[in-house]
Amino acid sequence: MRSFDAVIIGGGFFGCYVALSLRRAFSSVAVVEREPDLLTRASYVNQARVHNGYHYPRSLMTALRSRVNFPRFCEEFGDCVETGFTKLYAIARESKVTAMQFERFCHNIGARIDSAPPRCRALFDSTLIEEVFVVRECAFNAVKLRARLKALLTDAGVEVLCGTSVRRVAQGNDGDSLDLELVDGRLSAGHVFNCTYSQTNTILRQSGLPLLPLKHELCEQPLLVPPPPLAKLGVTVIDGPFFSTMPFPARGLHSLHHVRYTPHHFWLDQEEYRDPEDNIRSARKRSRYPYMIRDIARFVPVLERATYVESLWEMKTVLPQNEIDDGRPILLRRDHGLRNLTVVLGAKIDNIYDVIDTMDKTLGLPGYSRQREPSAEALGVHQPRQGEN
Amino acid sequence: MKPDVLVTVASAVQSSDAGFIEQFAREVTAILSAHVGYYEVLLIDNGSDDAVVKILERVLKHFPFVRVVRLSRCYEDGIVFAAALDHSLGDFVVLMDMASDPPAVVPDLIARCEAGYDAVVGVTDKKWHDSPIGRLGARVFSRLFEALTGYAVHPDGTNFVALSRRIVNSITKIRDRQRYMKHLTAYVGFNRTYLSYQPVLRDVPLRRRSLLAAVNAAVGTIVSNSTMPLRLVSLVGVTASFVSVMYSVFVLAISALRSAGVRINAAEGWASTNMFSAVMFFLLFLMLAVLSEYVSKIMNESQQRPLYHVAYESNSSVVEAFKDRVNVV
Repeated sequence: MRSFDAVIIGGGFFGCYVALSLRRAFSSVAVVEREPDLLTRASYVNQARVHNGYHYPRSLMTALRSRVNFPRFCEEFGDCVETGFTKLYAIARESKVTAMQFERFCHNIGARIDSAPPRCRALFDSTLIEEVFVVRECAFNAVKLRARLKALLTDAGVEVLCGTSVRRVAQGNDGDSLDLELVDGRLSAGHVFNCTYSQTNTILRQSGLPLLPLKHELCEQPLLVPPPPLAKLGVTVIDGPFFSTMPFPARGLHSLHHVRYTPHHFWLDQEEYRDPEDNIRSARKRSRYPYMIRDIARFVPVLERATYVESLWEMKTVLPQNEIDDGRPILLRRDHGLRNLTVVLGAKIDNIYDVIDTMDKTLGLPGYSRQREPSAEALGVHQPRQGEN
Repeated sequence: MKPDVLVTVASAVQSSDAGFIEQFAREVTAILSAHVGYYEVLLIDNGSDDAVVKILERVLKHFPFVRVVRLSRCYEDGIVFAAALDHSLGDFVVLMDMASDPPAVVPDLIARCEAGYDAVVGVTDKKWHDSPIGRLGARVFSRLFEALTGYAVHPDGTNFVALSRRIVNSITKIRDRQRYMKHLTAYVGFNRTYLSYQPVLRDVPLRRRSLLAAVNAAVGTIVSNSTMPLRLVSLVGVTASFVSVMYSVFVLAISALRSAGVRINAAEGWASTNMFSAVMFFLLFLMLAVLSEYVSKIMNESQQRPLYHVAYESNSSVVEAFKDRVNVV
């Protein structure tokens, strides 16, 4: 039986990055991925948005965390980030925040915001849209990110076992190490990190361990060829039942995300457990693109001329509010049911830095943090005075 | 029917509908899924009670493509229809009243729309609904309305209609707060046709309106759609002042004759003087009444408040995958 100091289950962006960080403390680290390649699931099928705070006018804490992590991600993975497009945020008239509030909010978190030029404004229906802004936000290219991480893992000497499925995890005989039962074989590990996102509870359940109260959504992400005026634009309409269409660099297309139609259905594990993988395989996946495009074309009429290519499907796993660590949408559980079994669950790609920082503090494994957090002054974060807002 | 057509079926929901919301959702989704490529069922919850809110939550769990838009309180029908049209996505939009309109007729309505009509208006023999006086009133009103505005509304037309996206976009641009769906549809024009149907009678007391409410609605409709009464008032005013000038000439003539020595008994003027002032006051108050109708309308419209407020929106989450699977391990 092969033995490692640390085994990471799940070769998505989080799993790979956690493996790289752990390699600094451990001499033998392995990533176990069920799919034939790394970063093929939720790390690939998502909006590819690198958040810079704009998205959270109603949660200052989340916005500030994004502001902190955005430059770190862009610096570390600059060659995997697409910046050659203009990102517009449009405030709908029935929005939960007004244009003035949004501008004020961006100023408070130190995020740059400019009024959009007339040719961009002209794309929107002014009876439904109050104001249009140009913001600093970018999209990552999941294919480039995959290549980059593979190279980093190889350089660091992390073993990558693709096409390997973990059935269950059990405590070893010494009461300290862990045994992993694979579909075809066994592994032994000093530490195990469950970074399987939607499969987090599946692994816990198969191992007879307590489940986390997770919410699962079956999500559809249509890809489209945008009409020429939108080719170099990303558009997000906030705030309420709104939508976004922005470049999906891995395919050279635009992705579409609509708050009302992207999630097809959801369930809560604490109410009724289901296996997300089983669900995504067996669900009748009938595209809701016709609904999305009709609603979106009300706000941006030119999108009527978009050409639909196909839809990508993925399970989205969300943490219930009370499990979230002071505004960071991540979950990190040490010794979950078994000694040295850690569960890591995050929502957005740049949350990885929060995961690594928290691992530094809570796991007592020194030296994972690759970079220092930039200071508030460096980011231009405006410290709200008493009585403001 | 073209496969990529999206149809919206919208209905208001109120507390009295509690008994058949689920039945309606079942019927309408069954018919739509059999006949249309894509559909949505839009339920405008018109400030109904908590029991209905619970039922709607169940409907969202069991039937796909249902959306609920809850209004902040109970609004008039016209405003509810405006909310339905504002929130609809369909290439064709069917408005219906779940208490009386048969879902089975929906494919016929849509088929006519697809054949090129922008509005297909449901027509029903209203014997089942209105009293003979009510029906007579409806006919008189219909004639009067056409005479005053120049466009016709079918006296037996109901609010069970199918509309094309073109006409919906035109109607949603009109933000009058006193709105009557039938008359707005007629006002914007386009191609219209009628389709007669038999209403379903669900186990619910009929929503009859009182004679007073009907008259009130009739006045409101006319004031919203026509300035003719105001023009008539001007005409009557001019006529009355002309009569009044003639009468002064008459009075001057009498007094001139008297001063010339012609014997006229002055007490005889008592009746005519009173008559004159009575007629004048009648005309004056009539004009004031009409003016106040228009002034109140001007005030309403000039406030520019939103037509309605939405409390929240929610939509279906049906886990289809597990509906017909047998869990064999």
